[in-house]
Amino acid sequence: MNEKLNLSFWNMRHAWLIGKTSYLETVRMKLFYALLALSLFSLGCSFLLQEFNFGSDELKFIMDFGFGGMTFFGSILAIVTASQLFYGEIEDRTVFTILAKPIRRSEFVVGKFIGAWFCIVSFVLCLTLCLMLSLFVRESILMSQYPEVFSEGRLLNYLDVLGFGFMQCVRLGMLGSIVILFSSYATSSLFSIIIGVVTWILGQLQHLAVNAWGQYDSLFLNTILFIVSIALPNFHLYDFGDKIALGESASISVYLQLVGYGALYCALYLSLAVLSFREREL
Amino acid sequence: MSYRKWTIVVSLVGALSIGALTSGWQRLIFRSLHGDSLGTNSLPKSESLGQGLSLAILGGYRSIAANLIWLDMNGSWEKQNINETLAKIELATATDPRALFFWLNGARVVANDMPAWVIANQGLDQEKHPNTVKALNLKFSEKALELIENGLVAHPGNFELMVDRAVIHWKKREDLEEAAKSFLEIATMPNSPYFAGRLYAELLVELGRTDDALSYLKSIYSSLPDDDIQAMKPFVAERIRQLEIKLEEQKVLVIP
Repeated sequence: MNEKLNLSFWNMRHAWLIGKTSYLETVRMKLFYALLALSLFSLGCSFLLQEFNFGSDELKFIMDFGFGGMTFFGSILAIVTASQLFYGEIEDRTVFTILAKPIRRSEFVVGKFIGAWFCIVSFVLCLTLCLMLSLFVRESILMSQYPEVFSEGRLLNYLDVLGFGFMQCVRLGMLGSIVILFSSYATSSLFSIIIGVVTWILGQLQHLAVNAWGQYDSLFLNTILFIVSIALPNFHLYDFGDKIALGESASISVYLQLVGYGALYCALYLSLAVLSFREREL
Repeated sequence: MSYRKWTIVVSLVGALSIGALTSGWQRLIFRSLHGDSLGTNSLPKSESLGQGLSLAILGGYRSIAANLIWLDMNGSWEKQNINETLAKIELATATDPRALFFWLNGARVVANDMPAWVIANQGLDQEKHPNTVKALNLKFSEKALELIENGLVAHPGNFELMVDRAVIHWKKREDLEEAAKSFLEIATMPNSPYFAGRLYAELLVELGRTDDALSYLKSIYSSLPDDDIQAMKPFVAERIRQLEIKLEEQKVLVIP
């Protein structure tokens, strides 16, 4: 009786199991470790390259490297893992064995997203913790060298660094869900990766499209700007690392709004991916 | 309708509907994070696109990219290559507009070094070719001012940039009126450096508006702190006395 019920209704357990297997698959990928190693190496370089720093103070310079790793390598990881996890199953024909079982296509889509997102979270969490440790060590050294500058205690708020890391997980989750949408429709994984990269860049520039829309005479250009400014999420909202580096904090309400905004877009893209994948002939 | 067309249409309609619904929300979140600052939006389109792209692709790494471009710029500066130096200054500021160092030093290189290179290369002499030298100073100061204006978009109300703007008007363009206006703008801002007000008064004197300079110094004198050496209160008091004497002498000269 229970099995029959499980077959007729959407089952979160199925999605969770697919997600768990997919997550284990991704963290065994060489790419995951290569990107993590590159990010950690670049964070280490922030200590060595201090002499090449002209524009900002030392802690901000280290923070730039950490945040840079999260956004740059994190975006690459989000695009590649989401595409590989989803389209890889279609390319390798393993999707048939999964869907031959009492699993809905929607559960498969959500499961793949869960797997990709947990991979992103693991990556960002590793980097955030290493960044926090680097900042803590360096700030402690600076505190002992220049006690007068730190007379009011530590300058950095480490909770904000953690909060920024979590917001990057939300942003990269949105990016991953877009790639899953394209993968549900695409005929090659390369296509979904390329479209993912283009969407990543356009999503970062979305705020510029909003301002430029309507300022040109060309109807074609205005239509493109309109589509970019309305159809894509604004990834730029999540670029508030500079504020944290300057010792400013974002309020809880802003964090909640950013999570809500990200969750809404993830839900939209995953729903569209489910609709698209349901109709797809495998 | 085929599956592919149907998917594209549904996806586009869905994305456009959510985008239209959340556009106000996006603005609200942006304002909560960055206030009413326009950021790169008030820059020329090409520059805001450049800054947006560098942020989009490099993220936090743009600071090291900008530093490397600046290092490279030093090579062009040593060779006194104007076009290369200018291009690299613009690239460094576009890559990382947050670093004040690039805006300030870039503007100084353009305003001070570049005309000096041309003057030296062409064997010009300030005494023999005053008009050519002046034209060169004007040409490069125009570019430096443009750089400072863009810098002020990234760093609104930054005193260092504003002081450099005033100095360029004063020393390079010999436009005392604009220089005075710039120093007054700095002096009226909260927590501004004290010297801005004093320089404004001196420029008014140079412009022949001694009475305006005197009344301005008198108006700020009471607000200057006694215990801050940078306020130079005794110096201001002395200057007020000198200007009063000067005005008295002028009156005496006029009366007969």
